[in-house]
This record gives sequence, C-alpha cells and structure tokens, in this order.
Amino acid sequence: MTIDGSTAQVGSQLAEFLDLPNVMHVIDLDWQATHTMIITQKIEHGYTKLRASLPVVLSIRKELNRPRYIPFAGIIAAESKEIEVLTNDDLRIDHTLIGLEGSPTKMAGLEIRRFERARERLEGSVDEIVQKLVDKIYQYGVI
Amino acid sequence: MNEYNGIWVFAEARDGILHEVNLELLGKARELADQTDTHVTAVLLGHHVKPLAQILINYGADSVLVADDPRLDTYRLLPYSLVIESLIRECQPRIFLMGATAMGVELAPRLAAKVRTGLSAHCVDLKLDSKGQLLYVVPGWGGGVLATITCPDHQPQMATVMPGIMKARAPAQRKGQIREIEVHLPDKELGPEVLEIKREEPEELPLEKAEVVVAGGWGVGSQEDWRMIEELASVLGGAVGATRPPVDEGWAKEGQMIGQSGKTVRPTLYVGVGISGLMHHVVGMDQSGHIISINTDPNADIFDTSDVIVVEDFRKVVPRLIKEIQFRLRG
Repeated sequence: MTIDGSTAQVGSQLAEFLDLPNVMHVIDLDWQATHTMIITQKIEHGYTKLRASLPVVLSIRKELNRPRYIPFAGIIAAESKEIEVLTNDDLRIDHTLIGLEGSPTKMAGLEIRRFERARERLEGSVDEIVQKLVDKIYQYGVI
Repeated sequence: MNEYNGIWVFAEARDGILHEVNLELLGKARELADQTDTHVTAVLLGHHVKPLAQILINYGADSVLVADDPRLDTYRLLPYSLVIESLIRECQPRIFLMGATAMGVELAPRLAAKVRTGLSAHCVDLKLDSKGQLLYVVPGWGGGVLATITCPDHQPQMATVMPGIMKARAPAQRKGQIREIEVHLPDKELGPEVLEIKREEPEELPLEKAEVVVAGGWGVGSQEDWRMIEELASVLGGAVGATRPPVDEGWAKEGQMIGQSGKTVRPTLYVGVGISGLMHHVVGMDQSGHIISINTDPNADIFDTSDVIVVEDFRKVVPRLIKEIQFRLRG
C-alpha cells in the first residue's frame, strides 16, 4: 500500500469500506494459530500487543521488515514479468466516489510562505566563518 | 446543512492522562469558536475519566461529552469509532479536530469514512473563511508553498494536527456543561483484543524541549558524517533532529524527524546542516529563536528561513566549529 504522503488515511478508510477491523503502525507480526495473529503496534513511547482474528487490514511501518537482497537473476527475471494495469474502465466504480471529483476535500488555494529572517551570509575563509559562527552562538546565550 | 454546528475536539486519554495535543487543539478551537460565536465541545472516552472533563473546560471547552464505560477503558479502534460515530450522527458538529497521535491517526480516517466526510491530515494551521468554512493549511507538494484545503460539501469538517503545532491557552477556572453519554455497543467481537501495553519514558532530552537543536538533512551524505551532527549537538548541550531522508537512510531515528509528519521544535537556537528546506520540514522549525544554516548550495530554500547563512561544505566547518566551541567552553 502507498505511504500516501505519510498522512496515512488509506488503511483505516479501506478497512471501514470493507467492514473489517484494522490496525495501524504495525511493527511486528506473528502467527498464533491459522486464523489468529499477534500484532505489535507502535504507540507513543512504547507499543501495544494485540491478538486479531483474520481477516484484518494492517498498515505497517518500515520497522516491520527489511526487504530481502535482490539477486541479479531476480532483476533479470523481473524484466520479463507482466505488469497488469487496471483502470476504471475495468473496475467500473461510480466516478462521483473516486478521484478529484469524489474527494470530499478540495484544494482552495496555494500561497508562498514569506519568512522574516535576517539571512546574513557569513563570508571569508573557513576559519573566519567559524569564528563568526561561535560569536553568534555565544551572543544567543546558549554557550 | 445549516443544522451542523459547533467545534469538537477529541480528548485522548491514556492511563487517565490527557494528551497535551488536546489542550493545544482546545486553544485553537476556542479561537475559531470566538470568531464565529459558536461553541467548543470536547469528546472524552474511557473509564473513570469524568474528572478530566473539568480540565478540558478550563482549557477552553464549553461542554464535554463523556462516554465512561469499562469497555472503553483501554483504547480499541472499533469500540471508540462506533461510540464517536453515533455522537456525530446525533449532535452533528460542524468541525471535528483530533491530534495526529498514534490513536488519532488510526481513528480519524475510520470516522471520516463512517460518516462520509473529508479529513485533512497533519494540518499546520486552521482558519475560518467569511462564511465560517474551515480552511485547512497543509504544506504543498514539493515544498515551498502552503496549500489551503476545504471540505465544502461534507460535515463535520475533520482535521488532524500534530502535537506541538498549536498553542494551548493558559488554563482558567471556567464553568461548562458535562454530559454523560450512555454507551451502546454491539454484543460481539469488536476487532483485535489488547494483550499488553508497554510504555517506556524516553531517557534522552526530548527533542521538542531542547534549547538547542542541530538538525541534518540529505546533504550530510553518510552515517559516518552524521556523527559530526551528533557531536555538534553534544557540545552545544542540544538534541539532534533530522529531515525525512536521514531517517529513511537509518542515520537518524524516527523520533528525531522534524516537520509536518514529525515533531515541531522551537529551540533558542536551531542549526540546520545539509538541509534543502522543503516546506514539510520548515513548518516544524520556523518558530525557532535563531536559525543558522550550513549548505553548499547558495540557493537552498532553507536560507529564506535563516538568520545566519554559511555557504560552505559542512565537513570543513563543523569539525572546527566543534573544537572552537569546546575551546570557548573551557574559557
């Protein structure tokens, strides 16, 4: 599944539309029985362990797994594999529910954010720049 | 659509403690409500959580809906979303704000799908237009711009906001209405069962509380050179921050990421090294007291947000800077 601009809405919403339970922020997975999984979910400063019956929709974090090494033969083999591209001509979903038209949120405008900062460029040799930097840091009162 | 009214804030409590982001969101909700002469309602779920309601009122809520039930003692997505869904259908709030915490990020999209409305995630500001419609401000794609998003035809207008972005008001003794809700849940299995919750308080100085933050970006280039960032932070008694690429590369930890989907910092001094300055990062640090940026690219966007600019290879500057600071500190 896509990381969706890191706003992570797809997993939970897909599960709701499918009427299935879901878990986000998954960092570890284990089978307990054929239709039961033990799921570790990352939360602030720790984790939650959950027992879920299948089917369940999971959104995972990158800690879950390290992608295996791709051997050269695998890259060559991938070249000849067929990639099937489905469009809405195949899926026939009501167009008022998908894409820009179906999105409840719309973009209303764009603005360039202006910042009021001094942008003072330090010039000179590296040693001179370092001296000026240390003077600045000293003035800020943090050393 | 006119029957939709009021601004709601989800009050997240774990182990009987309110998350700070609730108080920040109440501050924003109060500001928006006063502009349009509407009311702020906090939605509080849990067990034995009623004493928290007065805190929410003191931070800006006019009323609190409390769903107090042993089945809501520990957060679980399905029971929580079912209870909140029925409250939304009954009371029809116009705006619903949630913290972008582990809980909020899971709950908000599920709720938005349930009541078929729009959700804008990780907003960096919230405003109202002249008609009282919510304007969500989010960093634009590719950085450099802020996009304004609206949810014109669906209610409630939902948003999540990362902790640290909004400012809480100073609490004041206020009077408000506390309404207890009867909880109705179907008598069947409601999603995964919680076996264990483990939390460890972080040992290090939290990034968002540090007086000095030294942050590195993609330009740092390698794990080896990342140590210079850590060493500079260490001599300054500060914390290490990062943009997304160093986290993806594994040089920095997830909790060190600053920006829209990471943390918001406001240190006295922020030093950015090898950071290009995409808006996604800038929104998390532009409130810093003083900003020093080191980058070889004279046109780096980060310079627009900087007080002091160094166009130089950090590999030459930082090691000497570390030595010089150590020398000064020894006096």
